[in-house]
Amino acid sequence: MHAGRDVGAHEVEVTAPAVLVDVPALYQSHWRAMVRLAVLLVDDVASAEDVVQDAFIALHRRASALRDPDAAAAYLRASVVNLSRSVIRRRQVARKHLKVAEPEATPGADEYALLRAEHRQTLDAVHSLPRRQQEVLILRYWSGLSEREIAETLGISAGSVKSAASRGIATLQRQLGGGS
Amino acid sequence: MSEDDIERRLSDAFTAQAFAAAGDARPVPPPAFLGGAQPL
Repeated sequence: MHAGRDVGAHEVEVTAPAVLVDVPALYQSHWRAMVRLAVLLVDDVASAEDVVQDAFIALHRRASALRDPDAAAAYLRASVVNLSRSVIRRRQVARKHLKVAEPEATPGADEYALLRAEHRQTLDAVHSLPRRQQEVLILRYWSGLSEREIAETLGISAGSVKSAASRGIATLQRQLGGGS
Repeated sequence: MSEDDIERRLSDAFTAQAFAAAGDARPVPPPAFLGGAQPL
């Protein structure tokens, strides 16, 4: 794409590049859905909102390189997953080093307590899975993504997605098998 | 418990958590770099 146009030897006009991705519109249409996805990944609303804000900042920086809204939404989703991993890592480090000072409260404990017992049991079982399996299951059963879309979001092969989902489900079947 | 049961429980539990935690989350105004003085 040309930002300007040559006529003969003279560059007579410089036009702004076409706006391919409308980031403010994406913010309005995707903000809440992304926060809900991030909540499942990081377990509390405040961290989830920070993650989504940072994802939109990253999207804003990359917007000119993205070709269409679908690609932008995929980029946003991948950013939310990656930034959520960072939150979890920082939280784990903080827990390790600040064990004495850290309160016992679980992130998002208030909302968590309001969930039905069956949902809490299921979420506890999900949280016990390896991180990759958790991400695959959340993207599959909350976001409703296909194996290919999950693979693109996580930067892994479709085979790895299938394997992670299958192992995760099998573990959950064992853990929840005696439940309701 | 069948695979279908697990899938249903996952979907229900994720929906419950996402809506319980963020269902009433107040949309924050877009950041300034998004041109955003407009609250959502």
